[in-house]
Amino acid sequence: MNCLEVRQLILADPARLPQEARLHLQQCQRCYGFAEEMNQLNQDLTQAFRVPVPEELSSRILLRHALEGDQPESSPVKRRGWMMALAASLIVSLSISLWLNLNVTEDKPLLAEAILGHMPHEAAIVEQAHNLTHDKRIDQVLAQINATRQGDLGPVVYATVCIIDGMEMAHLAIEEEGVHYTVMLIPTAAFSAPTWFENDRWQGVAASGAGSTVAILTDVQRQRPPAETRQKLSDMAESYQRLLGYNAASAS
Amino acid sequence: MSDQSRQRRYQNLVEGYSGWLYRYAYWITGDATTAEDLVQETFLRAWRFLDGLQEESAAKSWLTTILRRENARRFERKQLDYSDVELDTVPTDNQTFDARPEVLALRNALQHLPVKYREPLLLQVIDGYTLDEIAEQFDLPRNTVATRLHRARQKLRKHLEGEELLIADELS
Ligand SMILES: [Zn+2]
Ligand SMILES: [Zn+2]
Repeated sequence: MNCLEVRQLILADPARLPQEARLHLQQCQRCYGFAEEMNQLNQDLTQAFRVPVPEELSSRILLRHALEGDQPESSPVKRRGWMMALAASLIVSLSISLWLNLNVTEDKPLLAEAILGHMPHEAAIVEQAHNLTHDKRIDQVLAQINATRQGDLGPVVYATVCIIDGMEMAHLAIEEEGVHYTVMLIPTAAFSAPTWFENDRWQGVAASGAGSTVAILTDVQRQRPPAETRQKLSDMAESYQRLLGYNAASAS
Repeated sequence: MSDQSRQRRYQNLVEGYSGWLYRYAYWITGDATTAEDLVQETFLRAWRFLDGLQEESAAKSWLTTILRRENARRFERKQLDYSDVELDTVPTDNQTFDARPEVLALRNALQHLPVKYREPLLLQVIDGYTLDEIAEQFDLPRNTVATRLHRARQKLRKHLEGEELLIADELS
């Protein structure tokens, strides 16, 4: 076995060299040194791969399981509950009505529609779950969209980064005075004017400032009178615009 | 299987393997938040198909396969391809990392390594998979796996050498 062949074996799996290659190492100082180096690399890799696992990961998985994972796929029993009915009704009758006759271009209602279509993703997790998130998690999520908190974002119960319609955005769920709000923070100005949108389950407003967009949604049914809700959502959108700072996005 | 023993079996899987799956997900997605979501999805699916897992000794590779499929589905849904991951979603939360310089340099090098090289390396180094076992897991010829691992180490080595030259430059 020559040096080249031995080195190929070392590069493929330094920890499991065949007998023939090991004999070569006893006679070849340079290949021996190379094998040592690759074994050291393996040890360093072991450390490098061991990124910290988030605290309470198992508990969060089991909590989510308790909330929604109760039916085996093979079971003839259909998954019940409002979530499924909701998902179905959304697919059948996803209709967006713009409440205000604003000057919006074609693609913006599409993004609004995409956000509405995304809502069942959250509903499953958040409906009963509380305190699933903490400041560090929120900051990590915001960092991914190049944003930082400038103040208290309120009682956030869920935070993650979602890609909707090709756009990466922070997806937060807020629980305030028993009312559930969904906040989407988008690091681009996607709407030229405030846009209202709704389907039979959710209503929301999206508004853009300099280089960023906030969309806030809430439940249609157990809500205050429409005018009051709209006012509340507008106020929230405005305050979230103020509460977030965006770094100049280096898109390279 | 009784409901209770099914639940207990599931809980053992979650507690035993969520850490492994998280790290695996982290290194194929390059992103902490996505990794956690992926592990969540994996376990939701694992529960539904739990009866398909015959032997506990196969659990880890069974779960890893589910996770890889979930990741592929994520790409289908978002119509992205792997090259997007390598370029765009290098983790930003560096404060959660082991901060020793050699480990940081290596993590950095790993993040520049294409996923197809990173993934078999992870299985081999962390979990002691043989070339044949990796070939089986990925459904690839053994030679292809050997070549990928070979290239992975060459690329890492080259990257680390470049890094050392930079440091030497700064010191001189
Ligand atoms: Zn030699
Ligand atoms: Zn989301």
